[in-house]
Amino acid sequence: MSGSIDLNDYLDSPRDLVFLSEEQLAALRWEDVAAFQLEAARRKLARQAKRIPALGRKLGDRDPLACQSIDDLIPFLYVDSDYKSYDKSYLENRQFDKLTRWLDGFTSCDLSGVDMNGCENLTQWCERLYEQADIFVCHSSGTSGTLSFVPRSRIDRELIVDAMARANLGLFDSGKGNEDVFFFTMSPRYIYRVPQVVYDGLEEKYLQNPVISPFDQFISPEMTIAMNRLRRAAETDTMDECLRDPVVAAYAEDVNRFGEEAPQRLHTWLENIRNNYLGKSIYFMGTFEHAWDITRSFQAEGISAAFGPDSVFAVFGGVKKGTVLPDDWRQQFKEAMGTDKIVTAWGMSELATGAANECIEGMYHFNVHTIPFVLDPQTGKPLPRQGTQTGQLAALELVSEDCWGGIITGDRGTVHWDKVCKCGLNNGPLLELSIERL
Amino acid sequence: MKYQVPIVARGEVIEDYEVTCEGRYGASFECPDPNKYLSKIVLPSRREMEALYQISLDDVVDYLVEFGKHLDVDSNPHLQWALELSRVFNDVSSDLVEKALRVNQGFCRREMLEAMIDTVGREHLDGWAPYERANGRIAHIHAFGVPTAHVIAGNGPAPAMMTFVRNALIRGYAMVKIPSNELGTAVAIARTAIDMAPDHPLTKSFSTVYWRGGDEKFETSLYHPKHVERIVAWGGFESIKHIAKYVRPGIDLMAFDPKISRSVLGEQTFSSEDSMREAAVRLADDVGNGNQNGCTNSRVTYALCDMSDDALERIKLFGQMVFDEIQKLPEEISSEAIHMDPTFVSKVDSLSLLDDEYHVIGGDKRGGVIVSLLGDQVDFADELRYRTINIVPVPDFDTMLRYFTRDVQTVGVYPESLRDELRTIMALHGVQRITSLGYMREYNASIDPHDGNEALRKMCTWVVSEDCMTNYAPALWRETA
Repeated sequence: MSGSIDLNDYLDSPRDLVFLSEEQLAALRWEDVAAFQLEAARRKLARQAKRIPALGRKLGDRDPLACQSIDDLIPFLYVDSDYKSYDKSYLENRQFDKLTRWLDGFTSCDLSGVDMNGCENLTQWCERLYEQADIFVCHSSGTSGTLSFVPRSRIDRELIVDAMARANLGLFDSGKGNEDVFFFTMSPRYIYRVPQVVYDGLEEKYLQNPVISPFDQFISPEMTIAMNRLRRAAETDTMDECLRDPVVAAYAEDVNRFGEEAPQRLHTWLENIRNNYLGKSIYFMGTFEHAWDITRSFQAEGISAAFGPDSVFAVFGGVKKGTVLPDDWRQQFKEAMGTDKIVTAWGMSELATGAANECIEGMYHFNVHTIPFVLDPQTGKPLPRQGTQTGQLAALELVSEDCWGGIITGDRGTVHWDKVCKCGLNNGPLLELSIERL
Repeated sequence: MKYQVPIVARGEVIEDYEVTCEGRYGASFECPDPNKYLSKIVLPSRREMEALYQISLDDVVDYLVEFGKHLDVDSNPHLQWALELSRVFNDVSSDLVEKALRVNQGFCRREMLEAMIDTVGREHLDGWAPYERANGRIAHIHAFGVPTAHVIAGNGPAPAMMTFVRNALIRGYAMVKIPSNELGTAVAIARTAIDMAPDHPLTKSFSTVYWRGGDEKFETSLYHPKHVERIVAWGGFESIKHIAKYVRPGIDLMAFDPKISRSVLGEQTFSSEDSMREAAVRLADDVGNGNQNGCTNSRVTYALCDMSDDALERIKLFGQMVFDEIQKLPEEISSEAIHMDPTFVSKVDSLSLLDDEYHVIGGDKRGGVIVSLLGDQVDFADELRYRTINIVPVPDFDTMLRYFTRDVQTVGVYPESLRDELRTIMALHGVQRITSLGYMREYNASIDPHDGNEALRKMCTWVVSEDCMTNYAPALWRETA
């Protein structure tokens, strides 16, 4: 695709926007984008409400065409508890057929044929959904105490990895082969979470395999639950009670071992990056803190331009407490690492492609296919779409084929609706990096 | 708008607002630092309580009757202030709060006070009641109030008022923890008392203070036997668990812990359109009166039936009737939800996805009826709110009784014959109050047992003074005749 584009061509297929170039996106006028987003959202709502029962329930007998403004879409967004609204006794009583029926409400795919007879645990539940319905269940981190489950169909998984590859154009070209790019991730290597969708998609679709994690093991949903419960018990001094929980009892040893081994595993992983991949193209997915540690160690050893110039550092988290970054840290990073491609994004497992990406000026820019909202966290009412607004963030992503992409998050953030970013990328709303939990 | 909540400490209003606290629904308020004023809140000496016992119980009753006359919302600026705070810091409509504030006057009617006194025995409250024992010993028994921390519920103005009246009748010293969603009533009561009789010992025996629950520095200092002998705690599971940490020799806990209420519909309910209609009208009141904020509100209804398709269809129809009747409840006793917890909405929505297991009517700010078609109570039954009822068809009593524990406070039953048939067995399962359907909200816990307790008696410390000499009570040292 090249040249200027007509957004009307994308009203029924917003997912194709993922494949536009940065130049094409930068050429869009925000007024046109806003008009496109409303109409595309109305069409998406009308279509998906018929296909996704949970959304159909939210729409009720209302007419999507009655949405005259972007804010009229808010009642149809999921809240972040929707994907974990299942009856908790389903897990305790191993009623995985019921859990499947609940999940069926959140996808346009038909899960009614999945056989859950004899299903013993969540891992088997995820396996059966994958094997029998080609649905990959992405669970959340579960820090709230309950795992959410987002069912990702094949078509949505392909979108996730396509969007990721497109955002890192040059690095994940399909022309490249195995062993050309090395994917270093701090997430576990095998897990029913979004990173696995990326690992698998890169391997299957882009034929790029080497994924190197400090945790080269499967972290099951049960173990994730146990980790969270043990952490909370330690915080609330309720360990004895917690250890009586059968899931915790079954995984406590594994969790403890994982915790004990983690520092050494991370150390070895970082050493591996430093010692064995100089000159290679890498994709680094980890904390900024670790990326900066690598930078400093290269500087100390006099190593410069360590990795291929197309390498990307997808980082999260800030600097370690007490660390002050030098003013020219980007320059120092580039000299040591050989690349200045540091990307951060704001997203969540409920959204397929993430909501916004950081620019060179330190602002998040929303994807054209993602509609942002800022709400009053107390009332749920929208704050004006002008000026600078701080409140509860919500987003409606228009690209998923089989899930509804509208979500009111548990995050608080500040959006500048009218400010023009110095980076010149586009003139849409800007989200400040300082996002925190409500 | 700035909201300020003073400390009222033994008749003194402290307005040194230097702490800002967050309310539950966005607005914040200012209050004094409780740690700074702890010494004013607690009694400097137990001798301070002597004045309470230099007046008679009749004086106490007269004081309270007079106090009731000052509780007219239309003319009492402190209650008007409390009402204004409830609009901002509570999620109950102001109509409901206003009605509840007006009902507070009823606590000070003489006949109500006398009935409360009767639960303890006037003779025990007014002085030393003599009892001659078989061996000649004369036991003089007196029920005393003691320094007590009251962690009251914030689901309406009544707990603050009940606490004031109860504390006065037993002549104790009350330190009330102000709930964050009911900031005004306790303070308004204390200030009304100051306006009426600033130097009266009863006025000085009711202090109110806000502190953030879990403020360990304050709580560790306050909850010490030298300051507090008893903690009367209303509240949720976590709150009671937290307070229980402070219980030790010298401090006992009287818990009005989380209570839920249920209803039972006999099979006869569904035998005619008329009986269904009558039961629906009554149940709607039990669910929706007071916006389901009370522990007396029904949250689950067990419907006895043969579980046939026909029976389930009639129960679905009945559910619709209940939903419709909830919508007809008068504004001053019931209203649509103001702030709905999205997590709750998610849970109800998710049930509607399982339409062969649950039949969901409404489930939004209007309220809701969830019919469990397979007879399984929803897993969040104890959290049902916003006028949402779970109707669970059950084939027999045993199936129903497995859901009954000591957490069940009230059960409303229809029809009447079934109530008496079930009351003993329900009591044995932990139920504490059995009543007619449609009367669940008409609970007078001041006079009748409250959550399984004789509350006023239990709030007293019972002291015996013995006369062993008048009747020559036997003793080892006494020579036998």
